[in-house]
Amino acid sequence: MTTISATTAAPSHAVASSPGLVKTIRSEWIRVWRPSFRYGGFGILALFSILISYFIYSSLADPSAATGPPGPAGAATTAADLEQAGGMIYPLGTISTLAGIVVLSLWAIAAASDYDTGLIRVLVQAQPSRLRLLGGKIIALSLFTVLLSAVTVLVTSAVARPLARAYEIDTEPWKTDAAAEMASGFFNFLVPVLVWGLIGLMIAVLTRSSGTAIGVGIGWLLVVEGLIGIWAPDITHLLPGGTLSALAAGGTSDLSWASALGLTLLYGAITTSVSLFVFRNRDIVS
Amino acid sequence: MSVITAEGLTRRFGELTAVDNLTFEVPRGGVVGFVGPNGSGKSTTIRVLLGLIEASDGLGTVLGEPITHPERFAHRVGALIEGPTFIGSLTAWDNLRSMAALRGISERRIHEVLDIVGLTGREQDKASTFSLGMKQRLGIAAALLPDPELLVLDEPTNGLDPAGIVEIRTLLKSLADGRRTVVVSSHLMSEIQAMADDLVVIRFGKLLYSGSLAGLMEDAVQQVIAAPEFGVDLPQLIGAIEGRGWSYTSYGDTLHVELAAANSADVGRAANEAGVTLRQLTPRQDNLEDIFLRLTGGTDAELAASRGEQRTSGGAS
Repeated sequence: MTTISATTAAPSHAVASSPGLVKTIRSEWIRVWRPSFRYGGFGILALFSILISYFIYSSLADPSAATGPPGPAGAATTAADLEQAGGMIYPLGTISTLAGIVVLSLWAIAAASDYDTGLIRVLVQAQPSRLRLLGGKIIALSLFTVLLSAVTVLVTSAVARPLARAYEIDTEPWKTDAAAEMASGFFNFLVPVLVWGLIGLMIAVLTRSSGTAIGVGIGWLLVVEGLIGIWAPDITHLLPGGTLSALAAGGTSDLSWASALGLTLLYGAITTSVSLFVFRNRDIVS
Repeated sequence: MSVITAEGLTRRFGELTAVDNLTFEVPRGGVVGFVGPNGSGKSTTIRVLLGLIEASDGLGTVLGEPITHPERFAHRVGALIEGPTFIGSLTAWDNLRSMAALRGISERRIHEVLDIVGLTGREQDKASTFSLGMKQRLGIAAALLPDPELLVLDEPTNGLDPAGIVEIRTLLKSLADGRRTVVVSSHLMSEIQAMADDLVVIRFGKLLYSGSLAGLMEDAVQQVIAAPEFGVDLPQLIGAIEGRGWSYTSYGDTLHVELAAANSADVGRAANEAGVTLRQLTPRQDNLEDIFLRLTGGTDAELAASRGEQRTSGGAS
């Protein structure tokens, strides 16, 4: 039998004076930075970046035939699409939807696993301010998503040059405003992906189940929006999936970049508000 | 001063009243057993007291602060509610580090609590590789991080083997000093009897008893169990006992004579004088479980059935 003993000395630990939100971010970051999230998140997105880039370069359409893989805006990708400023990160628009699903899943798992495991009871007891608790989680997951997005952009950029050489794409235009193009590409990739995460978080807070949250999120994107598109094609681009894809593509003919950004931020605000309201007011019965 | 007070505390879930007008106080220091069978409302009461769920009615305080403001006492309370909860893919150290960060506690304290619960040397193992007993100890370590004045442990010995139960019991008794109060909820009466100084007993969400264990055990019935070697001698044995004016209860050919243990020899002598040879002569005292059943007047199944009958007759009238 293991020997166990208790000390009855006066408290000897120092209590840090950090603000409550900083404490919750630090705490959440340790849990978010767990191996399954690190290796799963970064690994899958890096793999998607490479595979989708390869797919786009290897299947470039003949402009006159207008066939080939759909680009971010839904049209077939041509060499001309790649041979422009920012062409190096052109595949990001297509990667964005898959990255959104991955991030939605990660955020949903991070939120719902607290309920699945019962950890939520300990967390709320230790930090009774639920807004602070969920706020800390959102910020920690956002930081994680920024890193994921940065790695995705870097991997996409890194594979672009060898692929361009292999498929005889002129990379000279890529040198034009390269930094600005990278920054805007990163922004257009990051913001929709963050909102995908917020959608995953909201569904997880509502359903308290990671499996259900992921199922509902992906089902909405792949099935429900498709069905709505059949019945009411005029509003498809305004739905979350359509809007986030449009922003990732830098705007489409249906939805300008500015409109897509505004609508994306609106979706982000709505999902955040719903999550905070429900989390703050619902009993912890898990 | 009481560390916990409840006054008419009630929590309803739809038509079900899980916590029903509870009024009790938990004194400072020592181990306090929060006792009741499964489904009696122990966990719900703990959740209400710790601010995880809201009370439907009534008042309560924890460490002198109202339960409606858990932020005022959370840093002085450690809790393990319905079993230990960790992220299995993280090490014990990282799991505790995460909880310490949330409370703003330095990492030095993690070493201390690991030492207290006997997990020093296992801190770099993943929580998923821990046995149930080790997970319970890790859960208690997490609850001890703020060096709490009040430690609330919900069923901390659930699923443990006998050795593990003894370990946890020893630990909890050593943790309950004059400054710290340890509230342990359990449906295992024998466990609570072995470690508690005070008790809060509930059933179907209602309070049955609140006070010292010693006070409750004063009501313990002492008996001497006697059984004749041959069943045909039972009438002579009964005659001898009745002749001395002793009360008894008959269970088959066994008699439970209501006498103090010290009177065992008297029962033996009476049987001998009646020419009866005994095959059993055993002194026995009610344990907490017996007293609990006496307080409630029956087993869970019996009470549930009677409640069902009451509802049925109430509905018919």
